[in-house]
Amino acid sequence: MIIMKTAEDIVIATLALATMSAVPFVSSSYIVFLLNGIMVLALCSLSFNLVYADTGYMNLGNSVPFGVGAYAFAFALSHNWSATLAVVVSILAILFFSALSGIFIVRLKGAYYAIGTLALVLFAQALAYNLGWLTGGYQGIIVSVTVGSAYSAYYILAFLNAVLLLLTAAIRKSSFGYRMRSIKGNEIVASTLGINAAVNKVIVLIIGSLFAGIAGILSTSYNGFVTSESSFGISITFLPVIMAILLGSFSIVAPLIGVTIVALASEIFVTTIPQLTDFMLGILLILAALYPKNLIVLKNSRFLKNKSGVRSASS
Amino acid sequence: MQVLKIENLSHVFGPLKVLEDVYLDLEDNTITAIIGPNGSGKSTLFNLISGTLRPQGGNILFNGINIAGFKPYVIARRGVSRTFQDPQPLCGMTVLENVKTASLLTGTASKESLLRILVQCSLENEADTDAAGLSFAKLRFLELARVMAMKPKLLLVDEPFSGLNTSEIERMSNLLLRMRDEFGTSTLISGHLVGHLAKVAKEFVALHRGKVIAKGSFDEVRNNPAVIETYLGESNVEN
Ligand SMILES: Nc1ncnc2c1ncn2[C@@H]1O[C@H](COP(=O)(O)OP(=O)(O)O)[C@@H](O)[C@H]1O
Ligand SMILES: [Mg+2]
Repeated sequence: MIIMKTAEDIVIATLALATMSAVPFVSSSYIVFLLNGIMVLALCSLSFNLVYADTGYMNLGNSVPFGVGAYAFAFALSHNWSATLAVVVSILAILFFSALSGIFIVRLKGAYYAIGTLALVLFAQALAYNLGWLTGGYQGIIVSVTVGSAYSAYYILAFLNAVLLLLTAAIRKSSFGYRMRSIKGNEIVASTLGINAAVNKVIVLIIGSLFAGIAGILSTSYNGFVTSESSFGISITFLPVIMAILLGSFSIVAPLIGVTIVALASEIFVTTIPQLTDFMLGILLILAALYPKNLIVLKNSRFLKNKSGVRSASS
Repeated sequence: MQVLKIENLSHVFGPLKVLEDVYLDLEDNTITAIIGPNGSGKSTLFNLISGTLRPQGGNILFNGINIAGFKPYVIARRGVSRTFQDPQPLCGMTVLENVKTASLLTGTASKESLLRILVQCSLENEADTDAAGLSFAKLRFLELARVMAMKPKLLLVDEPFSGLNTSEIERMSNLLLRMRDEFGTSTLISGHLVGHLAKVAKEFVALHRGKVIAKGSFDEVRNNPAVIETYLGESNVEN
């Protein structure tokens, strides 16, 4: 396992887990909500990075499966389907749409792929506004939730983030990881080595989309609503992606620190200078782009060490 | 038995006829050299056989099956490997990872067997360096190391000697002969250094402006009037 090598790593992971599990018991529901928001962004960032770090393909449409999950779950709950059925239907919808878009965009290369995936977000946004019977149009869908939902979402999100982190590391070591990295290294050469780039690209996109989609389901489950903005707005579409692109080259964990800082900063701006929130976030992101290392604060720390050894060449 | 039989293969890039009605037979377990001045269509022929370029017409029979138009990964899985005239490393991956990726084709290769390939290619000290940072000569050998890990039935090596010194050419030649003897690989090798090519190749094919102008043994091709005329005054053929 790449991200847990030493005894020190295991101690840190255990402490982190213990702290995470204790938080809901010792803090207010406000904190739980805040952490949920951060973990949703973290999951989106990791799922984007799963595709990007190894294949080099920028899926700017990662918020589409998020929205599909969020809307499908809200639709099902608002029609009084059971929670289990709602989850199953939402996951099937996520898999269906991610496979569909994967096959649709698989021919695109480089910047065209990024643009194509971004176009899918605009497409999804338009559908969300226009298919009122399905999505509630501009108002979106409201579902009833209890405080308990936030607490369950909290643990599921923490668990899924850990799973995706370990999965990312495991894939990198596997032959699937080698195939994906060869696609990034030189797609034509990869094909002459017998690697079916298209199939690998679609598979990894589906895996990444599944996690982003489940983040969407969970976001509906504790927020109690879904709108086009909450799914396809700047926050889900770009923040996790920006953090993964800026910080992903340092380590697998670095983007998570990035989204945490930006989400906390955003919370502080909203509560202190609400009119200037977007302005301040813009400045923060520009600074992050200029000085990515400083954003992780922990300069020269363990989080900056590229233990995966994967992306040092490209950064 | 013929491992490769090319019939009636033509290719145009816009108005430019790059290959015209090419016929070619490759014998099993044999190294065949394909020579011709720059621009005569050698690399295009390799691209068509390996599928990185889509044929516009003609047949490419590999072990009796027409692979013309198959996807490159399908052709590779059937046992056809190639190297590139301009070395193409898998960037962001180490030398060892480059070779390991190639070895996935044949299933499980032990780390020892991969390291043995690196030793044979004099790449053992670079095993853990990013392939993109290798010197030109090392990159040439990485191209070969990858195809060695694939144990191909048919190998296309595009100008493997270009840019190498004499001892490196000898090492490269020995590796090609070894692949023939160990895996039964049939090889099509392109180049200009006919003297060095003659040491490994049993058959010669001369290409000129997309047409095969001579076939046969080294001496037959060398003494062919059309070949002599083509090369008269050309400086890129050495002995
Ligand atoms: N992708 C391409 N587009 C247009 N012309 C090309 C392309 N590739 C090769 N050519 C042209 O085809 C001819 C044959 O090139 P090539 O097959 O590389 O020859 P060789 O390998 O024998 O030097 C040259 O005139 C070259 O300029
Ligand atoms: Mg050439």
